[in-house]
Amino acid sequence: MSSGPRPPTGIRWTPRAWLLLGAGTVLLLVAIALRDPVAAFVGLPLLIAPIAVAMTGPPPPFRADVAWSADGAETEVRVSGRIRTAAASRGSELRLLVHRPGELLGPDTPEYAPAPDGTDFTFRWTSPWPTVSVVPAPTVVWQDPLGLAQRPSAGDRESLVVERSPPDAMRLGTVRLERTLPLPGETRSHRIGPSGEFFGIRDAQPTDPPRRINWLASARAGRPLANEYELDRTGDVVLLLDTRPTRLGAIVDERLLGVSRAALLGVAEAFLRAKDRVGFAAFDEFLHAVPLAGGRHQRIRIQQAVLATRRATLPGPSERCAVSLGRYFPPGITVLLVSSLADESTAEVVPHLTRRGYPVVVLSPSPLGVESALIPLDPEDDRLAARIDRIDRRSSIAKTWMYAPVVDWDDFWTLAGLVRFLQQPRRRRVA
Amino acid sequence: MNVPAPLRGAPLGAVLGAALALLALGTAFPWYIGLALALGSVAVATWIRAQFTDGRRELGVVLVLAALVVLASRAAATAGPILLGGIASLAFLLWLADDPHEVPGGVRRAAPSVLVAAFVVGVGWASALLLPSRNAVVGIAAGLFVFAIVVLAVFFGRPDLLDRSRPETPKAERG
Repeated sequence: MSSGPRPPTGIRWTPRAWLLLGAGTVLLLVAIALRDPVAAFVGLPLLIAPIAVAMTGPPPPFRADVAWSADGAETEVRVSGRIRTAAASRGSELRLLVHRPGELLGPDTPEYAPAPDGTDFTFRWTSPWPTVSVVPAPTVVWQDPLGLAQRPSAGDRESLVVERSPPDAMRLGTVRLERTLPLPGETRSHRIGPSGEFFGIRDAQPTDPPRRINWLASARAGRPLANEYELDRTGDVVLLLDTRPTRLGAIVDERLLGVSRAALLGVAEAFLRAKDRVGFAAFDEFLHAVPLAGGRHQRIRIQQAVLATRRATLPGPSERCAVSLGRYFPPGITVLLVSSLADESTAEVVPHLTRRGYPVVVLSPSPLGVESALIPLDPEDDRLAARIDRIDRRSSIAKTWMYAPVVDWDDFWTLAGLVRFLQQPRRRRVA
Repeated sequence: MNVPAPLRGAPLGAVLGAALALLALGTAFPWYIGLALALGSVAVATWIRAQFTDGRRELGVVLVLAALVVLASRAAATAGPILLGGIASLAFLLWLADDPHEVPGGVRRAAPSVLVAAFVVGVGWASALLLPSRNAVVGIAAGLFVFAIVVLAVFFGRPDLLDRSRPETPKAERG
């Protein structure tokens, strides 16, 4: 919640202050060397100014709280908030020091605007790809108007999670998942009860509340009748993220992992909103799982687990993933595996899962676009490399298709391919 | 009225340019070289400061400081250039305070600091040129002596500025 260790409260000189002190010293030396008082009089204010501004600063320790949030659409990320301080007159002299995550592009310094009890600030960043990034808790410092001295402040600050998922992930909520428990095989499950959509009419019981009595039907039939409602029971889905290192290298792996995390959070939110039960598992050397559940708390659990995922340093064997998954999730649950399928070892996990009775759908973020953006080539070489890469990718996807359907995800800002695929339940089934 | 950020630093840029130009006219440089040096450095520095928001903007500060050092080292040691040198240096501080990327009103907020520097320069100049000895060294010494007294007075008035110990109670910390 708060920023953790107490920050140092002493005065900190900025590089500009050292520039002024350096220039003042040079001018004094010039004055001595040339026996010229002009240089001394020019240098005097430069030497005095840093000490003078330190005297006008707020007394230590002073407190400044930060409340901030992120919004914006598509690639635009607008982080705005307010720095609040008890000394309102100091509000416009407070500065925010933020460590911007590498996935977000833009200036490190915000735009400031005066506010009644502090200062408003706005960062305008962009996110070229879908991302889930954590902006660490910021530091607030008082900075003098000349930009020569700073003094850190204490106060409550929280880190900020910036999420940019493909917007059409929400359409996944319309996908009707099939519940596999407790009966073997896939069965559409529903429940007749007091809520949901209208199902039928039955004889009223003494325990039925008046609102469930169908008064018109009762009048026509001459006996008390009550409404029955049908509620679809939730479906289940497990989101499995393969974080093992591949031959693509750390940079491409990290970028694909960032995109995959954003997509998974969007998918999880869509299913949770549709009252489905969602589980999450990340596989590096071992499996780390969040068991099936629904509701808002589950979203937070999954978000924390997703944010904790990092590219693994040691890859675990594929079979271990399937075996470990069985400890948390019973066979038969639909598994949405997110994997680049760049290596045979990463593709191997699919047959292991299907053999253990998990219907698998693979969402495979394509590394082709990321690689070409990172390694600029001549147009001619670029075309040739792209052709070879496409052939290689088609081959790896085709091999995996023998065991499970694969959605080749190349445009990271849309999950239309996955939505279209999941909306056709017959195609989802795996023999 | 909202002034566009690049234009916000311009008025005090003009003041700084004028102060440097007047100082340049009292140097051993030919007038056109002195003016070019003074006005060119300020114009480029103001543009750099308006253009960049990262560490590159300090290049503008370096440029003006370099112009100040060069002009001051070639200035004649008479009453006029001495006063103009001090004024140019103070104008530079005001120009620093009028940053287009910061919250407006920087000059007003920086006034106490700049006034302290102006007071010291004023006392120094007056001591150097108005006392019977008419010695610049005496003036500088007088300026520094006055500044030391001001610093002591401020620290006696606000001992909390020097206090680095942890507060005894959370309430004190909230201050």
